[in-house]
Amino acid sequence: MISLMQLGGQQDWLSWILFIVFITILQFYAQKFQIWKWMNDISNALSQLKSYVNDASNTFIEEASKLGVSREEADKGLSRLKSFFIIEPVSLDPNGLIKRLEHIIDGYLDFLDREVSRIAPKADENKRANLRDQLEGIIVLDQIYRVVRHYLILGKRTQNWIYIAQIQMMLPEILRIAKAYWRAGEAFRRGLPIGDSIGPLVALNLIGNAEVKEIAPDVVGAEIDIEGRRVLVVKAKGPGGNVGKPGEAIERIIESRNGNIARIIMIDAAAKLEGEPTGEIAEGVGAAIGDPGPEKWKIEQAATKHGIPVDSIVIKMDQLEAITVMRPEIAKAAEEVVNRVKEAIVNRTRPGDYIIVAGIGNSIGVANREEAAHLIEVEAEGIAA
Amino acid sequence: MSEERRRESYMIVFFFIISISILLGAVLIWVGLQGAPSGSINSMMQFLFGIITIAVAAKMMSDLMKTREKEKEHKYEVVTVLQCKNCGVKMERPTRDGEYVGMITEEKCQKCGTSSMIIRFIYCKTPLEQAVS
Ligand SMILES: [Zn+2]
Repeated sequence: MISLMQLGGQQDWLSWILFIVFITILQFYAQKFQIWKWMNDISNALSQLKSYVNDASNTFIEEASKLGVSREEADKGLSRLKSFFIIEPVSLDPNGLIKRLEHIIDGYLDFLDREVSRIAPKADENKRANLRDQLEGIIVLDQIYRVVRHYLILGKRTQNWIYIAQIQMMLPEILRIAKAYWRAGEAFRRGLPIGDSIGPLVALNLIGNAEVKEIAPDVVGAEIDIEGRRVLVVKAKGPGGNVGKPGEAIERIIESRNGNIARIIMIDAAAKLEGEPTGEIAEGVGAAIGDPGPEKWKIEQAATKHGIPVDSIVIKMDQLEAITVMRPEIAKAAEEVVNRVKEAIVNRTRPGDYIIVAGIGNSIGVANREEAAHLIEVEAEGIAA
Repeated sequence: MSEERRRESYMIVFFFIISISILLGAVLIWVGLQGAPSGSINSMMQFLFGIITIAVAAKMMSDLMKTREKEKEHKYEVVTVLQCKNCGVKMERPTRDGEYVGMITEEKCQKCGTSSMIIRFIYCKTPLEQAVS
């Protein structure tokens, strides 16, 4: 009996030692184990990102190879473009900064246009614009992939857990953004309206079947009548994926009428705060346009010079909803926005006034006016000629 | 296809490990409970390890379920809303390639039979969170 108890006691003592040793080892290796798990998460995410890039590239190559060149050539053209970059103008000397920025953006768009025409020479104007947008999406996706890969390799080499922890903690958001860009590729391939197209969609609903003409690069406008006011409705040229130069267009109209404009009303998509419903409409003052600067600057300059008030109506949406196929809540807000624009015109201007209404945003999947399909193509060619 | 089969076999191995762990945990708890009246620290340890084993197995199980759930691709549903130029009735159907808002098609209205309908909206019915997760 006593010996049995002693044995039991010994076993107790042994298992306690083992337990403490186990805990100590765990203490030493917990961090290593944690890093290993994080790295594993990152490399899984990385292969997911790689598959998005590959898939988006493949669909682009497939689309392009239908329009002129062979798959190999399209592939070569694309891989050259993937590492494309923009160097921002120096801001140390702010004099003429906007002009310099615009010059660089023009160069960027020119470059993309030229490359797309080279990869897909048979694409028409609309398809070319869509391919260009698709290409921009691939460049962003590829950039995300490269950054994540950079941190994974850096973390592996230095074993510095700060690099690894940082990227691992941002992974869910990174993957969300990447998947949205991948989805956006689908919208641009098929030429479907995205969330950002709400501005042009409202413009189309105002224009109806009125006659349109091109007033600036990739921007069209139509004059309509709202309760005795002459209203010029402006939008990017559709149904290709153009943003155009709405600032340039508005500036030209203002100058051509010597500033004789009663009001400018701008309609655009705006980033919502978390918790705000998608498709919520908000009104404010100032130029609602999310360009890098030059277009907004032109509108502000011209409006200030002639003392023209600028009103804005925005439709709230998630930043990812802005680049993927339009959500029903956003589409259905269009009718309400049309009513608000009419209301604003009736309440804030007098009959006989001249007003500019600008639907800002990417015009993908949105026509210039209500028209049968074949007529639109004919007219687009007429404008280009 | 072979990728899928490999995944499937991984899943089976994981399920096997999980069930073994649960069994082991149950045995440990049972043994621990048997020795409980003697009040020895050993049986307490056995009981504790049993619970930890089952907890880890449960965690693995839920992780596995989550990954399976994630792998199921949500379908991405894009629809076109057409409106009759004559009677104004609205109709919804899956989007076809080459369509855009404002296009007048020669589709027949289901109510009045006029073959002139305008595309009012094209939108995606899949919620954002499903589309990007
Ligand atoms: Zn009808």
